[in-house]
Amino acid sequence: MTDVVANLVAQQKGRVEGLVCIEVRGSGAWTVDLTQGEVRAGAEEDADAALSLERAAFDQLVAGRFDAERSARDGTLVARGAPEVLERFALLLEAP
Amino acid sequence: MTVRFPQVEGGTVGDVDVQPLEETSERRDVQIDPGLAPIGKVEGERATSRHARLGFASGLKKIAAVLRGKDDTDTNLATLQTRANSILADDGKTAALANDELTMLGVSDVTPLSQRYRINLPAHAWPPGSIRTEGDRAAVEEQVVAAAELARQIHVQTRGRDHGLFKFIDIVPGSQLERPMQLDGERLTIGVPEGVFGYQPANVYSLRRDFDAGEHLDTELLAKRWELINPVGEFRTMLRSEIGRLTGTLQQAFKKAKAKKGEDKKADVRALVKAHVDPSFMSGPGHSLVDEALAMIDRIAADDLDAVLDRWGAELGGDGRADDVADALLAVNDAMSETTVKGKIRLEGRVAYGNFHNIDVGVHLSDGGLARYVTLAPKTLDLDVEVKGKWFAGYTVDNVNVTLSAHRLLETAGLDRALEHLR
Repeated sequence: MTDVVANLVAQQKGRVEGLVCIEVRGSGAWTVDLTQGEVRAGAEEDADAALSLERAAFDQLVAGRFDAERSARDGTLVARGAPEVLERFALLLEAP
Repeated sequence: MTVRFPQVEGGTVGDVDVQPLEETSERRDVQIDPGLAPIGKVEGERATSRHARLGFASGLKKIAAVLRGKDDTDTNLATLQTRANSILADDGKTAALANDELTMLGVSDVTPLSQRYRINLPAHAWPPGSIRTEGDRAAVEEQVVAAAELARQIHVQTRGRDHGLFKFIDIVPGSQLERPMQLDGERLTIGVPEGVFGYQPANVYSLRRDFDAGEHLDTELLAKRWELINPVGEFRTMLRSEIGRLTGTLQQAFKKAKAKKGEDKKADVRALVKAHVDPSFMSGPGHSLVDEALAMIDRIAADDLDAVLDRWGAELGGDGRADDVADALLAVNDAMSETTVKGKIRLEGRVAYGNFHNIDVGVHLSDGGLARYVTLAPKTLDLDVEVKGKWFAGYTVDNVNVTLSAHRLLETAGLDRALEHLR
């Protein structure tokens, strides 16, 4: 498990719960299991929150230039599920 | 398992796996000898990686805020119901297309599509948050459009007749159904398939495939019967076509016979009886319908045969006769294995009595009184649900193999009824 995200969720195992699925269209999908501290390849049906983004939208997301409202409107982002799980995931990513 | 997010502009979400091999080896050098000064490039990458993580976190919070935003489910549901009401309306494209197709088939004066079917989005099936976004609304609307197209296809293929199976088409979230669609009472409920990332509406081809396959039936027994029950299935569609061809041919033959005089006319009618009437059908104790008809032809004046031919032609019936024939085949089959079938169906409960009232054994059957003209084929075959040729059907119910024949059924029934008034 060498990926930073995987490391971060592994470090937080047992402290944060939730299953977040992220699809970058044309690139693949990943499921971040906050509860188990794992990142798995592929989209899992029982995700608490699921995001599907165009590649360009994902680039903007990571670059900190993401306009979620506009992306949701124009379809470059499809988001479903529990917002609190996304917020937990965000807190984890902000860890030093 | 190694999982890699894609490389992104300005850095990576993961900072090791996505780097080229030579850069990884530089990192190893740093780790092997911590006394060496950090390589500036690696430090830069760590910075961009953190920048990416923070950017990602910020984006996730924004998305969470969008999800926490206003839930437009109620508004969207109202909009969609309005759309559902209008899509089958008399002045809409769907109804116009159906009318054009029925006209091309020579069918007129039928109940309009808007009165035959109604599409609903039951409010109780759509909880808050279920149609939250514009994307959700568009997907559900796509399902409504596909459902309307399915209704149009069925309406045209049944020649606008009431097939008696359902009047309402309910659209609900797919997670609320155990199968793609469900038939219950007068309602065909279609579930909008749900994927990880939202609704994935089924197109009309998919809906039709599921409908023809009996996916809306919750028992294997009834699913097997569906091949014969399906109002737009291969069996009934084929029967409609064949009956149309048969009646057209017979009407032409009747016309030719009526144009003749005296003994020539009688010879033509005798030939028609011999060619088209089932010789095994007994119209009375000890005598067949063929014998009775031939005696009648000898007995009455040639000109009086015109009225018999007119009545015979009228008794052949129109489009609805195909369904009568199919239901007659089912009726006889069910009567033959009545105990088995009824017992089974009762166990299945609501589906049998709620949905298939028109084939309920010997009680509500709408076979047009044709069941008595169905003949049992001389041999039984080992088959499941299978349409055998143009006039045969057979299927297996608990190891009871049945082959039924509707060959000459319509012609025999038509003549038998035409002669009733002479008896």
